[in-house]
Amino acid sequence: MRYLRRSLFILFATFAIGIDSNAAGFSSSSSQAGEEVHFKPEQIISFAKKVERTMAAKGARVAILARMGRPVSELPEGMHFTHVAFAIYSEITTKDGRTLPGYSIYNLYQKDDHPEISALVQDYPVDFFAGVAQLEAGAIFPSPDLQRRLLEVIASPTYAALHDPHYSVIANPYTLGKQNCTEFVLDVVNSAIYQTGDINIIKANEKAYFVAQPVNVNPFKLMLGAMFSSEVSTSDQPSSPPVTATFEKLGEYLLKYDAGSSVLTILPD
Amino acid sequence: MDTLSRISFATWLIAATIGSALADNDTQAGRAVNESVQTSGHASASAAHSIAASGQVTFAVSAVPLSVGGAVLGSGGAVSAAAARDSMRAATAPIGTPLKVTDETISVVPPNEALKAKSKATAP
Repeated sequence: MRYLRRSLFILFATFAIGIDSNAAGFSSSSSQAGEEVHFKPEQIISFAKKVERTMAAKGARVAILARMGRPVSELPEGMHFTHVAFAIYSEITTKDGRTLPGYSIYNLYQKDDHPEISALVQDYPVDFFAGVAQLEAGAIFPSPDLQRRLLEVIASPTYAALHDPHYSVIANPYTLGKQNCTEFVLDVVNSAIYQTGDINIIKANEKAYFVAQPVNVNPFKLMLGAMFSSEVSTSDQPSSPPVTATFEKLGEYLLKYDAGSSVLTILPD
Repeated sequence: MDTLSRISFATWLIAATIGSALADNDTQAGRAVNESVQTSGHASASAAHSIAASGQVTFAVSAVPLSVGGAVLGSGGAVSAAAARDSMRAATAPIGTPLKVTDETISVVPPNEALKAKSKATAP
């Protein structure tokens, strides 16, 4: 039965979608098999270091970082970045026992073998950007007060408690049941803003103040996507069109309500 | 099996019939489908492996935020007094004060490197 479903899936994909060799993940880890390298290691290393230095120059203890896992031409209206995570200024212990200052990235990644399930994974800027389709980063710098509160949430058990491992690429930020990387970041941000770990309070406030991005997709296509791909779900979307959280909407939200926050785009030299 | 065959045929028929309608591949759902196909279809080395293999990275075994809620969490592992002083200075500086970052490129330990270790590693 499993073999049959797999065969049908591949048949469907071949006929209906076409196999795109540039396909890359939304919330996939760079260690995922099939996550292709589009740039030379030196280019990735240089860009990742530039992003790191930019965050450090702004004195950021916490930044919200976004990458482009897909070329912008392939993304729907209103979407630019595909994966969002926290960058935390840290003391890093190397394999040879030294301690170095730098940023560690706190991600929600899809599991390699079960893309409908996610896990919380820590990595570093070069790992974060390893599989990108375009060398461009988005960075949100919350106000100093919010950065302090975010550090407290991220270092507490609330951080992991806010994670829902049931992944959907178009998770609705207003409802429970499915979560993607951006919704998780939004939940942690609001946990810090409202100083609560109560997800019902967080969701009530997101519903009241956060403006989500409508996903303007033909309902028939969406139905097929949900049928054939486990990481696409509409089970948490009570109305049409579906809505989801994006880096851009998160930036707008913080610029509106977090005085002193800023948003930056970082490009290679 | 008869039912299964019928379902399979119907699915194939739907897929084949609507193929052209979906050829533009402009949806997140479509891309997610692409991504799954690619994941299953490639046995190539991952992006992270390629970076690790470049020989230009330093592997990390752990990272802790330098300060949380006024408490200094880092500097415990600093091997020199100068490094410890730098950590303390960075941890206590007001947020917004420019920070130092290493010139080295830090990466997670790939499985082949982790297998060489004799003792257990902590999470990166």
